Amino acid sequence: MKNNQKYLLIFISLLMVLNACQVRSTPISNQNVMPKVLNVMTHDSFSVSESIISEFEKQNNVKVNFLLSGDTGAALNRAILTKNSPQADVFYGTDNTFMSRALSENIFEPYKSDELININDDLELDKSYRLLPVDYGDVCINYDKKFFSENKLSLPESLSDLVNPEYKGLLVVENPATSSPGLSFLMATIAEFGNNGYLDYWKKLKENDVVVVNDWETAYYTNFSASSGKGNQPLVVSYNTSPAAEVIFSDHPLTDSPTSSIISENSCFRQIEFVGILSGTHERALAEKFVDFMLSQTFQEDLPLQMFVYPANVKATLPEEFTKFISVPQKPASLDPELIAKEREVWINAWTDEVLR
Amino acid sequence: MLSIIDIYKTYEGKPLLRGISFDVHEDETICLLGHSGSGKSTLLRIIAGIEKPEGGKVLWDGEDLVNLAIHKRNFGLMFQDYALFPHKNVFENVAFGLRMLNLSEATIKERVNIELEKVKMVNFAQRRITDLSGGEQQRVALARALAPHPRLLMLDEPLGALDKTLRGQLLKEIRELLHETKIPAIYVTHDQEEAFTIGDQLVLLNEGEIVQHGTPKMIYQNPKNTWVSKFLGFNNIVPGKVTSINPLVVTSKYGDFSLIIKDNEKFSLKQEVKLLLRPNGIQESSGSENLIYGKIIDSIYLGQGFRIFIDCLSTTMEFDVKGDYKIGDYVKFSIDPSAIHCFQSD
Amino acid sequence: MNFNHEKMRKTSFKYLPKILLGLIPIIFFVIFYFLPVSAIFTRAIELASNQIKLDQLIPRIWQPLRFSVWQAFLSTFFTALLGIPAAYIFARFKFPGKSLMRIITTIPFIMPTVVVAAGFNAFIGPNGWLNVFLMKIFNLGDPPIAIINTLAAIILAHVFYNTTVFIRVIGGAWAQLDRKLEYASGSLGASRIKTFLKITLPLLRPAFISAFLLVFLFDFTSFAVILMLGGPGFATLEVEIYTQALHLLNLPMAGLLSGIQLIFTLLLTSIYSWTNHGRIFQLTARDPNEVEKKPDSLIEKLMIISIILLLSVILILPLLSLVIRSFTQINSISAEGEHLDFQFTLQYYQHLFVNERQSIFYVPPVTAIQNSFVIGLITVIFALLLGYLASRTLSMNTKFVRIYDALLMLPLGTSAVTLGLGFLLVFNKPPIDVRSFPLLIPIAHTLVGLPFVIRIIQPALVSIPEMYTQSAALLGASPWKIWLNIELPILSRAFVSAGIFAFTISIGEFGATTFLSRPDLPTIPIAIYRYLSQPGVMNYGQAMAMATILMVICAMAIFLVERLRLPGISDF
Repeated sequence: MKNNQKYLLIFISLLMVLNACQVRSTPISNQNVMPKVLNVMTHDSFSVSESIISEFEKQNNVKVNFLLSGDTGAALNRAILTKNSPQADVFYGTDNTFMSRALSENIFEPYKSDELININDDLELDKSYRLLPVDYGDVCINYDKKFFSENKLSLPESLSDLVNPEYKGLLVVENPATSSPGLSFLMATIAEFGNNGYLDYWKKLKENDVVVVNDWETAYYTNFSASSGKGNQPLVVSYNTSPAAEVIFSDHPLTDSPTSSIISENSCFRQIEFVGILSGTHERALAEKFVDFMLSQTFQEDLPLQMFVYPANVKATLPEEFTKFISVPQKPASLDPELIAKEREVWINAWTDEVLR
Repeated sequence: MLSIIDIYKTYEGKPLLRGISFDVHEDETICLLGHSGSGKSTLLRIIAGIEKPEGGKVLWDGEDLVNLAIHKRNFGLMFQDYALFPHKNVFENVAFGLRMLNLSEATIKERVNIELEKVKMVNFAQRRITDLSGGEQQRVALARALAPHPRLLMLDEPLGALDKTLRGQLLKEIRELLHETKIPAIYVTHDQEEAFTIGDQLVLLNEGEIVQHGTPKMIYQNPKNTWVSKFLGFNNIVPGKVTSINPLVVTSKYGDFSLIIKDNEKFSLKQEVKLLLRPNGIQESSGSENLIYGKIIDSIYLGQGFRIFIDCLSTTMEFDVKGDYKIGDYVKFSIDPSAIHCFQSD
Repeated sequence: MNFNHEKMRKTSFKYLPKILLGLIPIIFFVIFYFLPVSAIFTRAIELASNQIKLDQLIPRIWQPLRFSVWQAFLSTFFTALLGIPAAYIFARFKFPGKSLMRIITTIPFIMPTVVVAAGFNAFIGPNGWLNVFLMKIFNLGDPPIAIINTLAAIILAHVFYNTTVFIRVIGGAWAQLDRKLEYASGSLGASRIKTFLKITLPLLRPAFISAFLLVFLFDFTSFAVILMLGGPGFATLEVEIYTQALHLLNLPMAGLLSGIQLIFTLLLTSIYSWTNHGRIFQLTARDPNEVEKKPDSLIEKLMIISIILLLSVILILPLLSLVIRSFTQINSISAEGEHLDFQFTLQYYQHLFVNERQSIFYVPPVTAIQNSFVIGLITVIFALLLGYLASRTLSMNTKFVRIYDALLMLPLGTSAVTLGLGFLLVFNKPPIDVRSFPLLIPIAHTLVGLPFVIRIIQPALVSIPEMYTQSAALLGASPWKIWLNIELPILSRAFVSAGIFAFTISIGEFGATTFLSRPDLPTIPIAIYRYLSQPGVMNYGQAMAMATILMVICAMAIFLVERLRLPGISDF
């Protein structure tokens, strides 16, 4: 029994030590009137600075409640499944690959925000104003700078180059059936080689020993040679913002990123994320305010370092890491959202049959 | 046949068996007798092959068995709670050992029947084990152990879980069966009555050591020390000093006791000894020799007579007498010199 | 006549509370399992008209079904190959480090697959230290162990996760089996193998069947292991359900696959309860000193050492690789070829406690641990309570009970996606609203943990001789006192074991939790996923550090629970 007490004591003191390390966050609201609650449904990758949310809450006397609901597909599913008794007022995170499907489910109400004047017109894909663009990011091939310089290998200049023998076995991609960047990359190849040509291209990629994994985490952290896993592939399908993240989340100070992305024409696929007001909301006015807020300069300038995406607001200033370490493709690949909605399953199945079976 | 030589075993650092040696001969039943914790069950497990000794040998006709697995020893084993296989019926329990010999189905059937006959359980062949009474289970366990014709039978407190009447009856049956089958046996028990009934030889164990080894008669007549005496139920122990060798006279606080024994020579003058006054062989006396006196504190009726308890100088002694005495009476007895046993102080 | 009547009335009255208590798990099950699952199926059928094309259907179902069964069969087989001997040595022998080993074997259950995959990669991946080591020693050009993204990796990970099920379920029953039966068999000439086949196996049949079924179902519905360690070449039904539901938004197809998975599970559990309904031989609780002994022959010692070694390689080394990784900073040194420099560091741990991005969703490790623990403890309470009540009902041997038994196993064969979406569909308004009803996560965990809890408590409950309770009743003890003084002490061992199962399942469960999680109640696996969802060495290191903390805290908690046994049963 004495022994047990000793262990219990150690256990408790360990918990206390851990507790002491914790940084206390300041309580958010100190209003007199009971604030209203605004529910915002979004995906797990959503992030925002605490300070600007509390500012928004203070100004509008509202408590913003975020419902993080899994990945983009899971979150959208939740919104669709509960459309008869909506669980949230605002939904953020629909991307251009899911856009048409989301619109056809009629889960959003139109809202033409005044802030749209500052938003990049190219991103406004929904002319019915039910989905408003918030941010974008490009899925690009990232490369391990050191590998290419040490091996005196020239960089692939286009998607076509990747089937050349010098890049045999050097590229890792994600399965489009299970991974969102994987799907984006597949769409880039469809945009580049067309509906008739992309399978031929993938056949050649397969012959050139392309490595396919199911998820971005494995591709990046296990297979990619420039990341923590020190894997065997110096080319990985990731985001064009990843090089900046490598600098910010390094475990020692860096002056330059160990990685960079290939941004030639049609080699990247642009993902655009949208926000919309969910049909049936009881807080329409507040929801509008929140959408305005998401499009405003404050939020848009917070975005890049929270979610590693580009702001849709043209007035937003970019952080230094973005201008320094990231290259933005001038001509990213794109496909009509309606075409995506229609063909998505066909493409994935055809791809699966070609590459995996 | 079986020789146990200098067996040594510890349990969690404490010695459990300290150099045990004895032999088991043909047609002989050896009884290992001792309190729980004396090491007798461990010794049995070592002989059976369940446990390994840390020192010493177990020999069968000169062959060392220490590295021979339990299933190759052909020693029958029976436990206090029988350890019958609950998922098999009576027949299959008895047949189990025979099946291991790869006998034909007909032979197995025949031999199971013979064994069940021996224990009077033929009519129970198809019964479930869980439907049997304790005594019935005991018989099945015995039949099962005997079925493969083991070269040695080991019984670990086989009657421990039964009530007294049943125990007496089964004890008799086991004794008969052992004599009939002529299988040498080791019988472990803490009950001296059982041991005296069944054992050709008794091995008395205490704290991992053999205290005394011999035939029941020999041990009964010459208990080696206080522990053996008490274990056999003799509680009248009197310390004293030898004051004469021939005839042997011992002086104690109760007075002088003269004894009639054969080997007087092993005692020397002024030696500290202990006397065992057997409860029988006393008579009321007015003489001056071999006297015991005191107050009767209890009297129990035993059928042929009474057992009385006497407070003699603050020590309680027990004696068997024919007549009844009143509690509180003061009495004076003389003890027959042949009912006194003397051993060296231990 | 009159007397009989009186007696009958008394009897039925006596059973009334028993029946009412038995209804609680059923009500729970109907509300939190059948309702959501049937809701999702109904919705899938409503939508089915236009989205399913029959001609493509058969191969899309047949392939993942076949693979699910095949890999589950292989995984269960290999898990048994390690698990049964391990259960044997844990039940029958004393050896140094046993209690530590027993705790370590339960740790895999709590580890999120994403970190386990990282652990396996750090250990046996192409650049894992085992391969690097072997390549150096034997001067090889290629890594000799290349099993990542093969069937072997899937099986290995399943063995890693499920060996503990064999150790706990079979080992638990084995420790209750009277050793003397094995000795008696040996003395009758049966070798160890024959004794195992003829005596041990038939007597432990329920435990064996339970363990095999639980492990098979776990493997059959495996998701993250297939995804992360098997790679894209393999897809189980569960993976297909996930893809269909969440990436293609094809709910009807997901529903169909989920239904097939469920029918298969029901088939299996029905066979199970049918084969298991015969006579069960009651095992009684035994003193460990009676059944456990020190190994005394060379063979026994070698056997124990080799099993411990195998357990260490498969269970401990991947975990240890994680721990080591969380303390290591890897610097590439710019020289010819690959040269890495390893450096000890605490910075991943230090940074865990800092909200660097000022994110509103920053998860302080202590909060995550507290949330995980609270959810885990609530799950334990729910699971033990419901599991105990259900076990009582299951102890009555009737036809209804057999159906009940089969149904209670269903959550194990239900896709987490289906259950999660079902919860969202059904529980979206007060009084039970996913957004505000905090008990839904532990309830979902309880559903998954319940089959394990029942498999452990029920045999223990049956083992209590009726004699005990009867004699206590004769001595005038009230039912409550009987329960407290007789049943509880005898069951406490089973409760501890079952509680640990429920706890570890709760801590490690991720599938259904992602649908129900709330940012204000982040758990450890969710925190780990947040770190790993972004690039950067620091994020990776922090994920490993978080996983290490999770491991250590859980190990300590389990250690404490196993030590702080209820008074009066310390010998058992």
